Amino acid sequence: MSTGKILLVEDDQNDIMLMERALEKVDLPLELIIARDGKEALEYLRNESNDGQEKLPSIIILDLNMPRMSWLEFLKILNQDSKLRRIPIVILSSSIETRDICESYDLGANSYIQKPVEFEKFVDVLRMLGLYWITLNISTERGITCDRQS
Amino acid sequence: MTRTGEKRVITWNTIILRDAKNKFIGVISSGEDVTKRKRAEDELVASELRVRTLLQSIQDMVFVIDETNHFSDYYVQKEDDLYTPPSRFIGKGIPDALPEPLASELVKIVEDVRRTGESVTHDYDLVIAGGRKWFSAILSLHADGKSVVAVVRDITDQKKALEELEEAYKIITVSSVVAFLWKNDDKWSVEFVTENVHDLFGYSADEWISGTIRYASVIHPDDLPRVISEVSGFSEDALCESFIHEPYRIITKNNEIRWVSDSTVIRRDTRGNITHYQGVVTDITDERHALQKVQRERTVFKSIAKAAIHSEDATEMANLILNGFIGAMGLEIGTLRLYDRKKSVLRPTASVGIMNDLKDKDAPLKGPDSESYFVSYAAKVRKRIIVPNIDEHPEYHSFKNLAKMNLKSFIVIPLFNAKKELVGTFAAGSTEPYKVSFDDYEFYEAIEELLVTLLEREQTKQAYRMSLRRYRELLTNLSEGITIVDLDKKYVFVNKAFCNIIGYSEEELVGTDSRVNVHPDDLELISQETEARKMGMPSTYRLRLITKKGDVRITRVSAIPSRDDFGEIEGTVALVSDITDRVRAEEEVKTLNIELAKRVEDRTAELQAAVSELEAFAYTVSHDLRAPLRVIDGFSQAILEDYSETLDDVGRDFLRRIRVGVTNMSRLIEDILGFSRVTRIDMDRVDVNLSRLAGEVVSELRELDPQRTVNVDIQPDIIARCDKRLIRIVLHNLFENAWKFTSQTDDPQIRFGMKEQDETRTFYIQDNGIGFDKRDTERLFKPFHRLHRSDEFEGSGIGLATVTRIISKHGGEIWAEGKVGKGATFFFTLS
Repeated sequence: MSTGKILLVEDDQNDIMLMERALEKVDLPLELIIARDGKEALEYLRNESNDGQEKLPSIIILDLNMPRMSWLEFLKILNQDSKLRRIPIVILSSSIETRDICESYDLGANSYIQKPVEFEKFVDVLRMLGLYWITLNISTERGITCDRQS
Repeated sequence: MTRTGEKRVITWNTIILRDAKNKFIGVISSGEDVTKRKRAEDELVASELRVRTLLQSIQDMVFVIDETNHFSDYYVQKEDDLYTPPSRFIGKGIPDALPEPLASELVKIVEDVRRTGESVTHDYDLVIAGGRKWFSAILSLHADGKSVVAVVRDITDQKKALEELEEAYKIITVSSVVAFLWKNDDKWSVEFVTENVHDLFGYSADEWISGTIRYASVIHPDDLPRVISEVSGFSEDALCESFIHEPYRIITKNNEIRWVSDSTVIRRDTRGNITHYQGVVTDITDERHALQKVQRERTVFKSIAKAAIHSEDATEMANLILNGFIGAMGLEIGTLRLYDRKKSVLRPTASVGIMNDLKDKDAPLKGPDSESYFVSYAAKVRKRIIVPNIDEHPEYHSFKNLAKMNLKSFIVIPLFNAKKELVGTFAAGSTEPYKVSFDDYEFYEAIEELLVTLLEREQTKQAYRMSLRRYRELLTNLSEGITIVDLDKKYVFVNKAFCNIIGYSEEELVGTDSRVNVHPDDLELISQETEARKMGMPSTYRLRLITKKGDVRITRVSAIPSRDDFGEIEGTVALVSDITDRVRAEEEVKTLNIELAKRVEDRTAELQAAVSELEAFAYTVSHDLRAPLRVIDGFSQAILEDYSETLDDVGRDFLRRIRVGVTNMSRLIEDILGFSRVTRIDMDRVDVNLSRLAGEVVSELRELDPQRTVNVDIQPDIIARCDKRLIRIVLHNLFENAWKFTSQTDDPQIRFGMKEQDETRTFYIQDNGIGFDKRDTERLFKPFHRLHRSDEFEGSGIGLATVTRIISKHGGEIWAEGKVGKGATFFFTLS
């Protein structure tokens, strides 16, 4: 079982620390890459894509509340990039506003999860995410080359 | 006179014949030339010497009777005339030659002649040769003084004619035609008259013939001079043989006046002197009356027609008609009175010839005053009273007014309408007696009929005038303005209310141009409206008027065309309401409304802003408040895990408490969000199986709390039209509550069901839990109110508030019943 890469776009240091701690508890072969905002995340993704498809993360976990670039803008740019548009995106947000949920899916998000307040539940969520998106889900980074599709 | 100029004496007998209806049908005339006879008589008497010569020239037979009364000689032109041979009587005595009683009579006459020397005429008849012959003998003393000469003429033809004449007279006698033979004297004494004279004149034939009464004295004094002049006029003309009088009046023995027609034949002697008048007199009173009636009626109708054409005023009309009646009846005095039912008096409408102090006085039907009015009496007895002569009616002498007016003959007709109600009286009379008569009854009846019609019309007119007055009063006092404007746009009528609107008085307005008061900008409108009115169209429009003070008043005008009696449009009737204040108020309201709308808009915008803020707040709550909580929870967990050894039990307990607080706060945030979301969410009502939904909710609760055994009874297949997501929240909350509050009950029971009453379906969730105090019922449904301590029962206090919101969003109601320790039941309806 290869190591799955997770790109976490999160500006809150507390949440980053909690995420790292939770991932430890999940006990899955996961590599966590942190981007502090959308720009940083894009920079990383573009660099990685230049080096080949297999370097791209298996999943992007995105917090909705970000500085410098809004999550909407980030998702739009990602959607327009032919190399990056197929990476599964999971929105992990404290908000369950209908508007946020709908817009996320409209812009190509693959999943929307409310960030639980309780740490234990947070660990459960991450475990399920890892199991599903890294273990079960077949993503393009595993050598599958798609023709350009509109 | 004959054509050759010879004078002849002729006897004329003329009878005018009439049929049963007294209509003239012809004349029987008989004439005889008596010239010769006359002359012979004269000559015979004059000279005996000429007798013989004379005898030969006359047609008569001559017999000579000697002193011993024997027939001694005879002379006859033709032997045949004797009807018997001369031997039968010559030399024979009178008794031998002639039959009795003629013989005795003749002997007596002959002896008389011999003794007196006077001639005697004697008529006699003899039966000769089977037939009766009539003879007339003139016996005279012969010149010798002893013999008597008898000149005998056969008068059989004459006698027969006379008999016929008498027969005719008999006919006349049974008819109404009276035949007279008057002597030509100054009083026209009567020589002969038929027996029926009594019927007409009241005097018997004997009274006439004996000279007790003479004809001139029975002729009405007013007519006598005319009759005399007619007679003398015709008599002067020697050739005139007969003439007919203009009808004249005669006064009968009973003092009655009769009208007669008189056809007269003039009788002259040989010398042309008038000796007699012979004529027939006929009673034409009835015809005369009929004629008079016709003439009178003509006069009456003429006066009515004149009255109808010329008088607009009822009084004038009544006067004209009354005048017509009085004139036609030949009377001088009259009144026409109208009955005033309210005052119970007879009020004079018209009068003729009544003295001023009585003329205008009402005749009361009640009270002591009524006694002096004859009209009141007649009205009370409801009878037509005809008095030809008051002197024959002493019972009427008590009526003072009759005496005051010196009425001798009068008639009073009380007038009743078809309903037998008194409408008035007609009274007419004269200071002379017999000016009214029972004979005129029909005429009076006609008058009555006419006057009743007239007076009824007058009463109707008065009633009409009264109702007109009432209408006018009503119009005048109506709170809405009324104007009537003619086609020249001049005011014909304005009421008080209109005057109040416009500030001018009625006098200032009526007759003036209505356009003067119209706002200049509305003149165009007015001319359009006038055209519409001429087309007969009604309409309602707004019109600005300028008041006397110069203010502008806004009015609403409802105008209809006004038509005359013939349906021709003659102007406009308009209802004018001053709506100035209303219009101004409306304008104010409009302004206020606009302001209000703006305010509402502003407030809405503010509200929307507030809602947006709330949304932003909700977002913040859900996102920004949860993040720190997560941090608190995450790191307190991290401390518990990583630094467990360095903390004692108390420290670890504190950290756990921190984490419980986080959990509670997290739930609170969820509930608040849910509560606010319920308000914003759009409803989508579909048929929802509540029973099934309740089952799902209960399953969830069982999963979350698997240790508990709760007996849940759900009535199957309750279907309701509602928003499924929202109603799920309701059921979840209510079941959760029930679940929660039965946690300390031994045998927890929850029941979900529905009751239907009066088409209202009430759903309920009942439990046998701890219940609640009745006094807390209201607080139950308010947000953040908790009835129990949090360590007893979990809960944010938002749940029931959310439920209430959802139910009211569905147009339903929610309420609860409960008792402490005896469980609770929550009811709700969904409209």
